[in-house]
Amino acid sequence: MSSESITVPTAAATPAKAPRTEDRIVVARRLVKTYDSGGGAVQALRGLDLDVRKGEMVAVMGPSGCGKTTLLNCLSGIDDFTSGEVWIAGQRLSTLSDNGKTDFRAMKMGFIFQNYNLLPVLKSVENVELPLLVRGDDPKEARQKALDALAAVGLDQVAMKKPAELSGGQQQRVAIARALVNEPDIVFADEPTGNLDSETSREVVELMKRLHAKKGLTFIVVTHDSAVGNQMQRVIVMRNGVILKSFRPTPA
Amino acid sequence: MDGAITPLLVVGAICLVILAWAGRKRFPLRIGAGNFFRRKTQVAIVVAGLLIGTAIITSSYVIQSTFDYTVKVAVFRALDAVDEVVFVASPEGGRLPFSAQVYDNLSTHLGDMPDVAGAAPRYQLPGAVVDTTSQLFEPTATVIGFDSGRDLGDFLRADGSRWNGAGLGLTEAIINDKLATAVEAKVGQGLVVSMGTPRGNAQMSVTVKEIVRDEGRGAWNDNENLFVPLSTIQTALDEAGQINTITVANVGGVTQGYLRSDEAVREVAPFLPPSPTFTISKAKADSIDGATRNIDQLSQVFVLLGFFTVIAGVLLIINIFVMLAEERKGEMGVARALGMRRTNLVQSFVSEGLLYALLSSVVGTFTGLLVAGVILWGFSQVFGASAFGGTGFILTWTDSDLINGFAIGFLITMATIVIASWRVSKLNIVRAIRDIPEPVPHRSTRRQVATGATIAVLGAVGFVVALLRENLLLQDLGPVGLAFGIAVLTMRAVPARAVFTAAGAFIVGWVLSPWKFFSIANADITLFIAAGLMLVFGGLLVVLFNSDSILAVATRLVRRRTWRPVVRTAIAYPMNKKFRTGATLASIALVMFTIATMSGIQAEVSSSITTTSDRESGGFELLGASGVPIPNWDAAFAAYNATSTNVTENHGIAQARVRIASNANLSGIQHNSSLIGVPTNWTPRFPLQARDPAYRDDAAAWAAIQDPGLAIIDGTVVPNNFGPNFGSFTAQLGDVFHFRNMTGATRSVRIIGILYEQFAQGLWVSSSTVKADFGIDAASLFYFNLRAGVDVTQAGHDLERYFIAYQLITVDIQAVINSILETTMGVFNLLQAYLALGLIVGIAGLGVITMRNVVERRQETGALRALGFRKSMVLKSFLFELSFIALTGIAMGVALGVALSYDLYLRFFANQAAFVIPWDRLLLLGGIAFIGAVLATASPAIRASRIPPAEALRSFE
Repeated sequence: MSSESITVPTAAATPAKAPRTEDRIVVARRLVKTYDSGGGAVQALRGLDLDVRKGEMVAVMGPSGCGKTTLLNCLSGIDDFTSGEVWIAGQRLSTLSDNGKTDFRAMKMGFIFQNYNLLPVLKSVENVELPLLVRGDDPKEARQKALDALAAVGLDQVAMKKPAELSGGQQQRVAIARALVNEPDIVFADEPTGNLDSETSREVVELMKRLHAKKGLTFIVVTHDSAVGNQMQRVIVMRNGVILKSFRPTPA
Repeated sequence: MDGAITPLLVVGAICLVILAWAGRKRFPLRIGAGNFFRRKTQVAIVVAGLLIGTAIITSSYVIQSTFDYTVKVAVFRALDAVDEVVFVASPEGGRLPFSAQVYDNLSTHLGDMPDVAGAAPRYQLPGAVVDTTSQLFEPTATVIGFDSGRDLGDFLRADGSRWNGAGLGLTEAIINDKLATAVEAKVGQGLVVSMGTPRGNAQMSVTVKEIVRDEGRGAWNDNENLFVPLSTIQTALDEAGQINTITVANVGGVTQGYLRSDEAVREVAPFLPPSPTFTISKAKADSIDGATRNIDQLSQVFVLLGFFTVIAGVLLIINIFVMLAEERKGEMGVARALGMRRTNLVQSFVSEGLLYALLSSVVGTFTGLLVAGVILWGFSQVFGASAFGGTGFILTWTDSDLINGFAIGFLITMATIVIASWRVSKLNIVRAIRDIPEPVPHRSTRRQVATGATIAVLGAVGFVVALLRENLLLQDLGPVGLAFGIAVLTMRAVPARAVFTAAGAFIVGWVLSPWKFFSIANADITLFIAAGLMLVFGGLLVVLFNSDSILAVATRLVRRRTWRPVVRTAIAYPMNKKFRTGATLASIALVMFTIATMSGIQAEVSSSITTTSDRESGGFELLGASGVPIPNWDAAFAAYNATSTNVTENHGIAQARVRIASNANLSGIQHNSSLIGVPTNWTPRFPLQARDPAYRDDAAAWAAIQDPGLAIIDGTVVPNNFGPNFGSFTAQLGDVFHFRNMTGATRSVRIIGILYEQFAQGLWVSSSTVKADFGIDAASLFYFNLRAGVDVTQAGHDLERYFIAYQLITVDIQAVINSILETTMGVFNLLQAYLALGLIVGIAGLGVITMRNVVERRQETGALRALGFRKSMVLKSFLFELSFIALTGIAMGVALGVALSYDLYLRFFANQAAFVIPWDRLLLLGGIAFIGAVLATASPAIRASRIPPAEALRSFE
């Protein structure tokens, strides 16, 4: 196998000490993340424990600087944690190399960002099919899946348009299509409605909920918007790098 | 220095105006200066990019000054104190003797000649010298009888001491180093000197008294010289009281006297007798003028080719400033939101640019000096130590060279910065602050329509003017403008891709088209430069507007699945930044285009060497010329042939020197030329490059010149627009030239053929014409063919030895052609090396682009990493992107260069050799350019790949 091929880690590679994860897709134990800043070390996560069940839709809320995005980055493997451990779908992240984590993300995860982070030089459909091409799918099949994903978010009409030609809400829906096109086990969304007006925010959250219901995906959504948080199945409130409380919101 | 003050004043005035304008409200100036000093590494890179143009301009000035100075030094050395030479010309081109009283009369009136410092009598003529000890001979020496008390200047002995030659015995001679080396003569050895005169040969035997340096008086005419007392040569020739030359020195000394030549000639002429007809040759001024004219053509080639690099540099400057602006888009948006006007943004950019322009121009000026030094070193390698009579190239520059280079570089940089600043200051405040891409307009704006219409109309008008005035530049530029204007005008009505692709294809096709209204056969190098710019522009349009097709091709070529997303992003980015990519592509393509074209021409010249040899030699191996015409050549050769079996074919040709003019009354400009008398029993095999259609073939034309009114002329009359011209005038078929014969009667000849041959220059007529008009039938020009297997050089020396009394010299035609080819190839190589400097511009451009891309796409890179792009994929993406730009630029430049080479081949080389593409050289140069590009951009690309994704994305929080 060439060094450039993508390997999909399996649960079999998980060490013996792993907790039971049959019904949990995310397990974090004593998670610590420390940043070195000019003024000394800053602890963004302070021994945090977290469990998320498969198919659960979780909101992570809290004031600015409480460590929400850091938690999301550490859980998704796009940032290294200082100590502790994270298992995603049974895979212990600390055992993976940088390439291993990258490939794992390509196979198992989807991402939605506040700024959409679509590549401005690619058309909508090209943006959506990019994760499939990264995964090594056949280009023709990837294109069809991308068109289907766009249709699923109601944007099949703008498939050949570039992000600059779309509204903010449309761009975020393209980003959602991109996050879901590779049928991930879990989707991480970082302030997905942060740049949207309330009406568009509501539409985007509804879309995520609909897709969740249809595909049974796990969503971890970082947000500071209680209206968004209240739409989730569970809300985790963070402060100073630890989980302050976790509750099931009452639908409005 | 005086001439350099104006450019400095202009630069100073511009600086003051900018400082006053930008400093009126202080803060734009402060922001500009602050930005300049903020990032030292960036300043270094930007300055490195900006200085190239200045360096090229300065180096071309310095190269020109060096050439000018070198040829002058060579002439000063050769002629020393002598500025003019007075003599009576003989029809064969020699000098007739005249009474020494002419000199006496002239010298008594020197006080009436304010511009003349002195004059001296001489009897000098070509001679052959044999060293009786070494038995070596020199057939082309100059024998000079001089008056030590009156002759101008001094000899320089081996120890450097000066000597006027006083005390030289009547049987003693002074020889210079050159002659001593040629015959291995030493002081005290005997020499036998043979001299040809109109009355026949004369001989004298002398002993070497002193060997002097090839400097001062001894360097005369850069020749092998032998000096004897005037009376000695008069006695040997039996011409007591006769001289044949008066040398004149002007006020101003060795280096400044020639500037007074016109005045000196006017002052000397009245004191010469009306008969015989005296010629006053402005020897030094004419030599400098002729040498400068030839060398200036070469330095002009450098200036003009440097223009490509300067254009590439301008594109880089624009690119750099547009990118600096994009980097600060957010800051500028905030500044505008806080109340800063657009003018204030321009002011801050212009004041920052002022610092960049000043710094880069200063550094560029000195870099240019270095570049010139390297190029001139290359020239000295090509031309060897014997160039310019051993003077060699002397790196020379004046204050004006450096100041002009600095000032022009500064002005170009500053003008480009002002335009770029104005362009980048146009921004939407909200989009700038939120870093939102500019929307894609769907309809033609009024400005686009107006711009398109204006360009189209200007193009149409240009084309009409071209048709009316037969203007070659507008013949190309007009249709190019029209096509581009129409594309801009219609870009929203029809798909932009279609119109710009069509316009680009048309431009390339039109510029290369052989079916134009007027022939470009006589076009000069400026048209080549314009054609290059237009071709690259057309090629750019095609490439930039067909990114989808390029992407499709690249994706198909790349089958490995992990490369597919890499290729997609790598090509999509540059194709979406058309201006940035276009400017960089153009920089690289322009330079590669010129190098490829130059390589193509070089290959054609090289591959046509066989044809060139045939055309120049006429099938002969040896060319001979005698200082003294050989009477009754056939008998003389028969006598020689009895001693040797080397020569299988020979022809002796009589020549007469004439001054020819286009006007029947011989008014206006007259040119020195020769009548070359073709014997009636010989039809030369020299092919013609142009022939009067009245003659069915070359042989018929050669036969026709038995008519005294017809002539064939040598190939130097056809202008060579891509290199130095060795002809003093131009001529075409049907031209009529007039001259006076020995009786003063006017004769006329019409040109019915033009040779390729350039060795024997003049009008080829019948031998009976030369005999009838000038009474000359003795041969002085010879062609020989040798028996197979005979060493050409040895056979030549054998002939020279036999005919030494006639000062016969022979030339191995093939060896001379090879030597010229070698020098030509060397010059081509140097020109390409000079052009390759422009590649630095392209590579610097790619480096700047990559650094900017890394910063600009930081968040996108983070997102890609989150989506599954490995580090290696990010690195590949950046490297593929810059490779794509570099390779596209290289490929485009090479393709267009090869296309133009083919066009030039069809026009100039098609009947000489097969078309050759120098793939090895092109691959080598392209490879170097590509590797340079990768090295320049690898560091930022690696840095980009190593950014942790969370860090790249952190700005979201």
